[in-house]
Amino acid sequence: MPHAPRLEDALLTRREALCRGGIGLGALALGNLLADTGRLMAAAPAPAPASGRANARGLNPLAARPPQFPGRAKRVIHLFMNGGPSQVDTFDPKPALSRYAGKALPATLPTERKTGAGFGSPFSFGKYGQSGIEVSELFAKTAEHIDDICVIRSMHADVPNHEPSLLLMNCGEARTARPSVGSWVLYGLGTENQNLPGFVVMCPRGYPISETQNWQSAFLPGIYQGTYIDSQHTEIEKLIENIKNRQLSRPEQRAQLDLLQTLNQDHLARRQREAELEARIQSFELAFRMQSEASDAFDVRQEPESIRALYGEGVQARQTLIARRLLERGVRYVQLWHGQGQPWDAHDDIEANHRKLAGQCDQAIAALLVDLKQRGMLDDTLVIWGGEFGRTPTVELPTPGANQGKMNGRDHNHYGFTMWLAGGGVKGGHVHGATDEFGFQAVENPVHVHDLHATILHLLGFNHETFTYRYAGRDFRLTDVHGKVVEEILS
Amino acid sequence: MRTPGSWLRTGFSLATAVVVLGTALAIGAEGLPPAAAKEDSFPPEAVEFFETRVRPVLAESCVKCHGEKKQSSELRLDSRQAVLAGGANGPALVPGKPDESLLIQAIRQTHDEIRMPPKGKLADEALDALAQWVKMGVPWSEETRLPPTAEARDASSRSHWSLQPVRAVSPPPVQGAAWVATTVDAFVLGRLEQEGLKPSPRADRRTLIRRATFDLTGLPPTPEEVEAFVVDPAPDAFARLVDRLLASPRYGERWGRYWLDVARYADTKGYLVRGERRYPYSYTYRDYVIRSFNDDLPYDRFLTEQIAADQLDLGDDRRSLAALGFLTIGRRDNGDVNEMIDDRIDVVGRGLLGLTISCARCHDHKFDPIPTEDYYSLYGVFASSVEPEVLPLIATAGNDETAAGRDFQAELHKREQARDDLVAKLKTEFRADLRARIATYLRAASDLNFSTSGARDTKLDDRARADKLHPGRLRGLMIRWTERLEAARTAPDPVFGPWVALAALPASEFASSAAALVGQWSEPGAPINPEIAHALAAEPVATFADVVSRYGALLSEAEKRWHERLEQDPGARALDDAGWELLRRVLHAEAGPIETAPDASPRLFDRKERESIQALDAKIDELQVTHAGALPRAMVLNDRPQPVEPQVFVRGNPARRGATVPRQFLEALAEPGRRPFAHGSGRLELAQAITRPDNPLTARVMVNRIWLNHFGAGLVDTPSDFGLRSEPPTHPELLDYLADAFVRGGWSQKVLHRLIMLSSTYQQQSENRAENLARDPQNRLLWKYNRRRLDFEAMRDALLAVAGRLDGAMGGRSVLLVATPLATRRTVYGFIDRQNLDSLFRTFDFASPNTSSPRRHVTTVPQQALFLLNNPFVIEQARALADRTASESSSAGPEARIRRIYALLFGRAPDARELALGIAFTDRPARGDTRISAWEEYAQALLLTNEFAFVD
Repeated sequence: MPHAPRLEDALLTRREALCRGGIGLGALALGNLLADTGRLMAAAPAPAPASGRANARGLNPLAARPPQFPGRAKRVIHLFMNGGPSQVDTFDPKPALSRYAGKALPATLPTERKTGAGFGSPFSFGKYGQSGIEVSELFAKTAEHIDDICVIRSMHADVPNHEPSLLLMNCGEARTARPSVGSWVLYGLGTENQNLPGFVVMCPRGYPISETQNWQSAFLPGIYQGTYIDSQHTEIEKLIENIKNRQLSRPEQRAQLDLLQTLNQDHLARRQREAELEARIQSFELAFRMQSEASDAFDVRQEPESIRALYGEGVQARQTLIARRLLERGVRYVQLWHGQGQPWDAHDDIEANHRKLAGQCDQAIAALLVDLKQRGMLDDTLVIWGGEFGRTPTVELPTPGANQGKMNGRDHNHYGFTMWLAGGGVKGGHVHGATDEFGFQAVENPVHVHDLHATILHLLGFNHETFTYRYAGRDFRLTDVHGKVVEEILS
Repeated sequence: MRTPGSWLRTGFSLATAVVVLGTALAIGAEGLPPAAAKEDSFPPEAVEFFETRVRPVLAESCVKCHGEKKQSSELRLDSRQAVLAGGANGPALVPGKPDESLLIQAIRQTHDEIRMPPKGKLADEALDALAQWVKMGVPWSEETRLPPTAEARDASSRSHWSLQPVRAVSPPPVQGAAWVATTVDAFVLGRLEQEGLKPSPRADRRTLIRRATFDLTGLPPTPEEVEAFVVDPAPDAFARLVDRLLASPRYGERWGRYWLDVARYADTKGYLVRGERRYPYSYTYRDYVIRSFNDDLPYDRFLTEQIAADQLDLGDDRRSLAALGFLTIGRRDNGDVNEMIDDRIDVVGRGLLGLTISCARCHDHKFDPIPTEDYYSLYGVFASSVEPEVLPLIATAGNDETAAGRDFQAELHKREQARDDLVAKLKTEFRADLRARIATYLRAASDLNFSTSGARDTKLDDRARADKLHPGRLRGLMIRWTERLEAARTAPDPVFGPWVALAALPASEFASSAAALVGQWSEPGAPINPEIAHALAAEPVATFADVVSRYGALLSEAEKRWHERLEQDPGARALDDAGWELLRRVLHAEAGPIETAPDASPRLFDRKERESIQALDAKIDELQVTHAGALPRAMVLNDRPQPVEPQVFVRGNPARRGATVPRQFLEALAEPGRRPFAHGSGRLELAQAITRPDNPLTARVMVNRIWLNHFGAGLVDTPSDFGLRSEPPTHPELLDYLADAFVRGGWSQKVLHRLIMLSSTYQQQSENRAENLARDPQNRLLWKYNRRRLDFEAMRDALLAVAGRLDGAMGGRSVLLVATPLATRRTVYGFIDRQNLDSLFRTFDFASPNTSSPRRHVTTVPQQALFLLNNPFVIEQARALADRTASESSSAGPEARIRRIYALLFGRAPDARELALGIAFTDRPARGDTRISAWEEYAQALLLTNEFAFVD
């Protein structure tokens, strides 16, 4: 049972800090205050706040705290190509497929819809970097940094449908409500910057398929859920709720806050200094600072021209640059989605679709890698790229009511697809695993989504088998009863 | 034992023998192979080999995960019997055959999926030893390490405190008897004295009325209520206050909401790809709950109605049918039936019994005495219950005579008509196509052997595509045709009789046997349709496919003749020739094999067709969700005409069916001599079993929830898990005392509230005291009252209340809290979107509506402060508060206005310093571009104070 036997001591420390610093000086006091919430994590299995009385009445549970063991990565950015990009058109070249273009492959696998003959990639591949890893023209700019990238060509999932695959990729479970990876990480590590949300999700123009379930906290406390931001907007009020007061000038609001805190201090003094009261006092100071800090974080105009040029134009560039600004400020987990719905889901016209979408994000992704590196952040930032699955090497056949009947697209494929990782303790210039001759199925060193999750947690300093949360009588894990750390890709 | 062969010899038919053999094998795999009994017959050198070469390897590398403590994949490797019995992946060993033994393949790492041990391959020496051991026939020397039997396991877990009967406990003797106001106090004080702690003094009246009012109604007391209570000289002033609050309709809105957390109440179904996500009538369940709390409906009745209201005699007032929303209001997730049933089992298990029954979905519960069979017993109860197509009306006074009601009915009829018309049109097309191309369809169906693997049958789709047939129609034809043949097997049938007889012939002797049969049918007077007899006899049939094509040709011909007939006489009702007429009827008779069933399965339509039906369905739903004239309906369940006999899903996998189990109550809680449920689904019997006065859990779980909501902490810290892994109660005797009092007081919650609130324990101050804080920092022993922050509902409602803007209307459809103009209804009437719960709710720790929620988390994050500082809702209330106090104290100057604000918000007068601060703040120019008055700003600051947000 988690206890806080030294509560009294902690209170005195905080009291002193408050006295010395006056009410404006919240941060120092908060640091002490939040130390208490280390108990959220502690040993394995983690005590459950749901049953821990002190936690249930707890303080700031977003305070930064150490993992189980020193991790290589301190923060994560997940570039989610929702809809499922085709591996054979991006990072998994299959020359044999061109030879089988228009012909039946020796073996095909059932996917969501009917597919027919082999369908060679319309894109050309080239070798990049010292490692000479082949990448298609779609991601030519990203490919220039291939020596920082670890390409996993042997990913596999469970079913060829969007919703369960999205939930599997994000929450480790396809059917029932489980916390997302970002929620687990925020629960485990807290966040470094209390003035910003710890887990930020950006998707322009609306939600992806499965909506907010993709970043749900499920049975973890609601504050661990991802904060969704519609990145098509540029005004800060539309990006973060309640970030701006329309009635009060900032100095006036400060005056109001000073009155509030004076009254709160009097109240506190009459009530034996209770930690919860102090925590709430400090939360107002945090919120006040958050208004300016968050506005700054989302304001890419503050970047030098050279940096903005590096990322390029458009909403992908802007949200990627915002993401870097957030990571730089200590946000723990950022997830970027390509767009509302399932943009990469090219059942038809895959050539035009993939060319357009890659064209929108390739430069920004390359810029992100350069930018993180030049700031010394790539070493401890884990970059994840991929979709919820890949696509078939065979062409999708026309199905009434299901596609446009053009015979130039690919169906979903969960048997084998590519994701890549960079930074944060993974090997650069490395290819792990392989699909078969045509790119249909992972055959060499297959990496299941659960294995990827185990590896992500490992890189962050958690053993996925002992990083648990007790709920409804069970100790839940991100990886449930599955998952194996992919040791081969660790640097 | 009789071997399967002896069954064969005793003359069973082949088909029966196969079934028997299957059963015998299944038993062999799950039970013990006979060889297992012979372990003492191994020669000493074999045992020696086992002891020196094998047991150390098993002990070192295997039994940690496959032994007494853990049974990964349900496999144990610590007894010969267990090894041979195997685990989830079947027997681990085949004695004598190492290469075929799963365990050997796994440790050699030659198996496709299973590679053991997980940490790395064993040394070659160990691999060889284990292979040799298997070859030797798996010798073992036993200290007979059999796993404890299920009974033994149950016996140990059955002694768990929460499964023991509730005892009628008498309170312990205490020294400070003067402090004891109700029996509750004796138990609390007894514990405190044991620990050498002293309780806290009684809180003052202002504190008490604020505490009690928020506690029972979720709202602050008015200044007038406070003053009246403060000056009330009667000794029973507090008791009368509690009675007044319990009688307020605001009580049900507060305490009903606690129950809605348990019931995972939401107004939407969760994620749906298409269709209406909102539940049109979820609010009727919410209103039922609020009403039941206000009426102090006895808890046993409350539960019974929520499980089986449809099976109770409700008289004329049918509103209680809405109680069944407890079961039906959960997440729907695109209609996955097994998930839906699991949700219902879970809400009953954790919500009512404090048992995590869902843990037994894939295997026996790992800690609690709940075998997986019990899960499927309950599964059968819910699988035997369905939601009717049309939900019952529960309005007491009809408003269908109002204009809105009539308009709704008319519009509903229109939309239903549109949907029915489309379905009828699709069915017409369905039949017309089958009639026109019956020969082609039959040929395709025959190629597929008249069998389909379900909605996603790629073989069927391929076959349909080859002949440009409609896959849904092909599937429908196969299903109906097969049913028709089934009928022909049991009764003489001149049309389908030959089909059935010929289909039964073995392929090898088809031609000759068929010729003989056809010969018989061609004889005059044979009870066979002459056209069929003739067609079959015209040319010899060599294979059954020939038979199908003759039928196809005949039916096509019948259809052609019918069209010709209709051309001559559009009013014709039959063909003149009796033989052809019979064939025509195959294609045209009602309930014939090409008629779709009335509840046509969506599988009979293609994707586009299904989507167009769904779109019209969504319009019907949408009308019910939004139209003002829609009368309230109850989200009921009814029993299926034929209850489901549930089968265990092995490891939770519906494709792996295990033993059939009866629908019945949990073994751990059932009376001795548990009997299967006998009436319909068994829901009523389930409710009766749960609410039996001697059920050890039901009352304990509920009184603990009530205690939790009064004190912010339960006597049991895991309110929805009273299982073996839960912590024991802090005050076990008190818990039993309350549970016993609850049941004996007729399951009245209001009686329990009084018992608790009139105690000295409840009326203590909430101040910290250093000497106690050091000993019991979490106040588990209740040496003070816990200061509590207002939860989301109380916070929002209190803001509205003190601003004078709270809309007291009760019941009805949920309202969007975040839409402008901002709603002023109580928060309990706010619309809850299960899928995309508004961040406002989440920010303030609202219960996740995905599953039953045992308790709220309490977090303090800056997003809460941002809402309070900047959200228009808060600023609106500040403005209203400023305006209100201006008019209520207009002539008396700023001081009176400040006094009024303090009275409204805190139920007390400001002191001199507070007055001075207020006057100074409101009497100064604003800085910068500020658009609200200083009084509004001041009012907002006070609404944000800790004094407002916390209850002492």
